[in-house]
Amino acid sequence: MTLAVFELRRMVRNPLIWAAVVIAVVVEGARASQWWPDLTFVTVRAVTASTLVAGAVLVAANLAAGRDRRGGLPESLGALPSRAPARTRAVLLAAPLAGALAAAAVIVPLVGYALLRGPVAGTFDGWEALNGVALAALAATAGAALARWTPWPFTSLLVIFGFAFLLVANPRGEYGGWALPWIATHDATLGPRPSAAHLLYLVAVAVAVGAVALLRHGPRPVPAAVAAVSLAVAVPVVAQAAHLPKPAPVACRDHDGLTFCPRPGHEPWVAGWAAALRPITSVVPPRALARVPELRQELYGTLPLVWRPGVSETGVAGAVAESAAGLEPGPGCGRARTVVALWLTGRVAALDHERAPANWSWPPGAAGPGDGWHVYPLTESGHTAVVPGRLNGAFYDDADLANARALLRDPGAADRVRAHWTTLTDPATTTVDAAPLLGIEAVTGRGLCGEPR
Amino acid sequence: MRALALPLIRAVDWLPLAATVPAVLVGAWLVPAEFAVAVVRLAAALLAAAAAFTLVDAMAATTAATPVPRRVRQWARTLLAALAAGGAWTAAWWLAGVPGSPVGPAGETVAALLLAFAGAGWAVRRAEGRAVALAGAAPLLACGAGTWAPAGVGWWWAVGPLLLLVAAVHDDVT
Repeated sequence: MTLAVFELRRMVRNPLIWAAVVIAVVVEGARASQWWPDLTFVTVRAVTASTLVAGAVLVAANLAAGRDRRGGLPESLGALPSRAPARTRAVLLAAPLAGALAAAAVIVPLVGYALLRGPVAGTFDGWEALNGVALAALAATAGAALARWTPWPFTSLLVIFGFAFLLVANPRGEYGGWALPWIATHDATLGPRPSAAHLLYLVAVAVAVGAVALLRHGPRPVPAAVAAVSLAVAVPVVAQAAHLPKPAPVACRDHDGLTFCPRPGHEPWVAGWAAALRPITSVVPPRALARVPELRQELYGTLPLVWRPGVSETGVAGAVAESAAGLEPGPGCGRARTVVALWLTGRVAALDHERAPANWSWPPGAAGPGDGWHVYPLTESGHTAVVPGRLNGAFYDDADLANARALLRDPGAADRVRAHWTTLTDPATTTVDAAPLLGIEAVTGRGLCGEPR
Repeated sequence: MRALALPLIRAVDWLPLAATVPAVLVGAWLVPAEFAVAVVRLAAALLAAAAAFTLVDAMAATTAATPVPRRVRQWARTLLAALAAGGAWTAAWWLAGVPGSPVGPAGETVAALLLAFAGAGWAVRRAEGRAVALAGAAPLLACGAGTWAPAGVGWWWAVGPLLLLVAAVHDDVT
């Protein structure tokens, strides 16, 4: 026991572990600060960040358990009454505890940071957070077992890099499923994760690995029984783990004349969405807003599953402005309602650096989207929408953009647009006809609309 | 040169590289094409972490008395390890069939090697034993923390400063 306390004190003072804690919190905190917090994903991301600490704990436990075989220590320790199994037991008691503490020191601040930032969507899953703690404990026992079974410190790196490879190449767990130590990417459409079952699995595996470390000192009945029992728990638990039933859908709600349909748990975001679209809803007449279809938060719905301020509102504003102005996908160059729709999106996100896309369809063989295309994040797992131009499929040219910019510079534009809304959004009204109503000097384009330049 | 290289080749701890090179080559050969880029990046990190172990001189206290300066001995170890790791990485890149130019991934690999040499080279100045070379993996893991270090040709810009850093840690211990 004295030895375990000694190892715990050494571990708690280990600079490697604390450096990993600081890096994990800073890197993940900086990434998370760009998104509205969704506690479901904040927890998963925090646990993913804490695996860096688990890696540090694995190395620390590996070095601690292998210490008695390095640098002349075997000869010195041979004269002492305490034998190698006692030293292994001490590391197996101390390292998981220190690792669990360090992982909690990553997860708790990251979740707290999300709660402070608001508006908080999703639900906090305590079992999910404890998965990170259990991962660090598993890393600790794995480090001790590696030190006892493979006397080369390099093997701990092989395990760490192998795990990192699984995180990067197999983030959705297509290969291995819940038997993997950690599935870093969560698809919200699949339903809640079986976090409690996975936690039990991780704890059972950690205990089994610890018992395997002790078995290096000879085939004793107690460690063998512990390993067998914990594997007997872990295997059926992980075999039955599957996503839980999805929560019931929630009702749509009206805000500022628009209908928002959030996913379960995302009701707190409705006010934020409405605030982001207020530059549009404050100037468009209610009868035109009534034309806008329900804004549904779905994988390919109008509202994305994630929200990155400064990026996401531009995409939603394009869809809302297009519907409000009565535009449809297809050529809309030189029409007054195209200018009005662009002006509406410009009220949400400035048009200063906007250029009309040179191609309205993905150019064959192109590596990436061209000039004037926008990329909007759709999900936490990296799905994006790549959209040509500001509007949801309606074509325009640089002349329309110039007219919309002129309208944006005019402080009285909002009143004039509202007063002449019916005329301006009439499909037959051209920008030249509407120039006196809009109070701008209309610029005309070269007649190309939608054809590649 | 021959007098320096041959004893050094015998003295260097090749075990980590010997364990990593076949694993990397088999991995690059076997994995599906969708994982090719990830495997080649992982290969770079693993080979760099393994190559760092060659910097550990178990006889550092004795060889300090030889007329060959420490920086020559450490650079010779660095070059030997870099040749082995670089050759294995090139083979892995070729076996995995990564599309596109190798310039970006190669820059990343060179930077990873230098990061590992800098980390381990700094650690072997301060402590004895082969476990200290684990320090070579620390900057690699820190770079890949949280997400995954950005890919691209930008890593070539890091090569110059990293070479200076490695040269500094290989300097004579005074």
